[in-house]
Amino acid sequence: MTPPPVALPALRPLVLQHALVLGACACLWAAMPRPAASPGSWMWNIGGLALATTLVFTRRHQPHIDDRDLDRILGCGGLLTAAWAALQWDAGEHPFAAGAAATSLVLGCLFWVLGTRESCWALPAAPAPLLGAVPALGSVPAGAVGLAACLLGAVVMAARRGPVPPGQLDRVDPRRLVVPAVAASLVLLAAWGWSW
Amino acid sequence: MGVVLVTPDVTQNRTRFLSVPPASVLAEDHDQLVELSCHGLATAAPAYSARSVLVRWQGVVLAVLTAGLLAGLLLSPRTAGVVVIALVVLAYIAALGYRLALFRLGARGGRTVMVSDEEARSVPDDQLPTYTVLVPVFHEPLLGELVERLERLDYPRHLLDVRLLLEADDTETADAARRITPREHVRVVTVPSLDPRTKPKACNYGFLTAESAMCTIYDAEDDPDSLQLRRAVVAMRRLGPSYACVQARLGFYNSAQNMLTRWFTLDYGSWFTNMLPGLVALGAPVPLGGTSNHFRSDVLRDVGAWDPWNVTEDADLGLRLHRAGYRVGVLGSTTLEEANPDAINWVRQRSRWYKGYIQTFLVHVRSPRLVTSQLGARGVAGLVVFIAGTPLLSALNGFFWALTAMWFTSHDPAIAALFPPVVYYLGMVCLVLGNLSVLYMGVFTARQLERPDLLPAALLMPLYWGLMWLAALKAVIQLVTAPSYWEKTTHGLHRQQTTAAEAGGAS
Repeated sequence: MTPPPVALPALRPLVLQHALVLGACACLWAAMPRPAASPGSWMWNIGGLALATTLVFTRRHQPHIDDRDLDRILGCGGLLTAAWAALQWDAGEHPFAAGAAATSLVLGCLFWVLGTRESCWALPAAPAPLLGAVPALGSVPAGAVGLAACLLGAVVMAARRGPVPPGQLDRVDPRRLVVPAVAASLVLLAAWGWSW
Repeated sequence: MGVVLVTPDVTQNRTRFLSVPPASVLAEDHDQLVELSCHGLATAAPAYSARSVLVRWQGVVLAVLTAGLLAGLLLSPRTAGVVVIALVVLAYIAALGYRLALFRLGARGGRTVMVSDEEARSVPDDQLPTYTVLVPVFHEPLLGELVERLERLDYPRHLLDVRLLLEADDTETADAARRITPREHVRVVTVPSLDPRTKPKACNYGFLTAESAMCTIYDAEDDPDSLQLRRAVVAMRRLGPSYACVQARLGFYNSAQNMLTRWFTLDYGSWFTNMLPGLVALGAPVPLGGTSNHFRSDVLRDVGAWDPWNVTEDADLGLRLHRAGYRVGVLGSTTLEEANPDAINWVRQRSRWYKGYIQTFLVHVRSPRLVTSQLGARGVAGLVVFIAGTPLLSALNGFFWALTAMWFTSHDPAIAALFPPVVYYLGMVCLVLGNLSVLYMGVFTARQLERPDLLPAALLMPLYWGLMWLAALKAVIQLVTAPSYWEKTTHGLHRQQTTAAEAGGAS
């Protein structure tokens, strides 16, 4: 059976919106203070981002059921965990603390903005940056293995699932950006040592 | 409308909350039927209706407790924290003990009414009562399949009255209803689109004009045991007039679909095989399930049928029956239904149940002295520990997991200060023995169901508790923001996902 043709003109703005949100989350991730990252850890990060993008923009056979209360609960959980990890563990000094805080921050924002379902699609990519933050896995060979594994996973996923069809992605409500933007700014300011 | 009683009428230790005109009268008087369906219980016995969630004294108590907690946290945070945690730990221990006792009582067996196929079939037709089967449906295009499944029920057609309850503005289901082959014993009832737009209102509307002696409910996805109606008739005769209802077991036909459906199967297995029989053995009220409960129609009318304002009208009805002096039995017959295979849909469904449990608890403790005299000490213990404790303690689980994680990752002395030795050791009992015993219940249930394939799911149950926590937290939030909002569970996902997988495979 041939899959129905994708209505690209209708799909493009939605893909762009969601890609912008993912891009903004990648910027948040990078903005978290951390000790000088090793080249290997950056390879893990790039692999994680590629995998997350592929996971979000491929076809899913899932019902269109969402729950705003759940989005908010999980979003708050992610943001509070990020605040705790950044403050309690001193993210600027410990690479894993920074990785954990940044990943929690990104997940919290994703849950709040894109919703639980779409965020859960990206969730399998979360271990990649965390593994890159483990000092023993920060070497270039380990990072290359991580990057290769992520890219291979992304290619296999894209080939098996196919591109995102129309109707799978919802329009991002701009009002959803306000709370995570404010919360993420506060977490980042606190992590950078700003006190009030 | 001068038909309802304002004061509950007590005769022979049985309480009548509502005096409903005969079905034939209501069939002619549509306005009265609608009024009774929507507001009958709330008007006649407001103390038993969830139309308003909190009565004045409950609001005052909650406000005082909240103010006390806030004042304590401001003035002496450590002492307040210790007191709160100690109270919660004690509640956990009570709930754990109660659950273990119930499970043990239920697992002993002998509390489920078993009716053999031969005995069920042996009842002559002229000794069988008329039976109404209510099937509330909403956005259900595959109505034909549902009717075919109900056609497998082994019951004389001239005694059967199947009522498909459709919402007036549900054109999708109405179209499907027009395509059904007409049958004498199947009728489509169109329920007016008035608030509250809930399943119990539809059930009331369908039930109040039924003239049958017995009544049951099935959901659109249900596939009941073909002899279930006959078994229910035999069981009710065996149990006697003090029993108003028997609850059949619920199982799943897609239990092996994914990990969530396996967890759900264990959850339901434990509930119907051990917990409900345990409640029966203890003499505590039995919160009914949403389908496959078989009532004596006269009793159902007397207790006011379903409360359309309660989002777990089934659990509430089980309690109301008990308060009215009746008992509920558990029937050894299984209705297969769809296990929710989608986590978000599952959280929505479970949060409605949890919200309804808290709502039901608040309704039934409005008159503490009265409810104690009606339920007895064991019944009240069940009401507090089981009905209120389950959602509230589930909602607190996340807080304690977070505290545990924070302690292990920071060794912050402020956290240690919240746990003086007595509280700490009691908390450890909860953490270690509590979690192990709940895991054991899952493994035991897998063994009981003779489903070794469920063993990995039983051992991974802590992940399911995470979902339960999310649902409980959502329920508590929604109880404040939207207490009567009925969160519709989407059904048919099993079918949709199978179709999608087949389409994916074919392409």
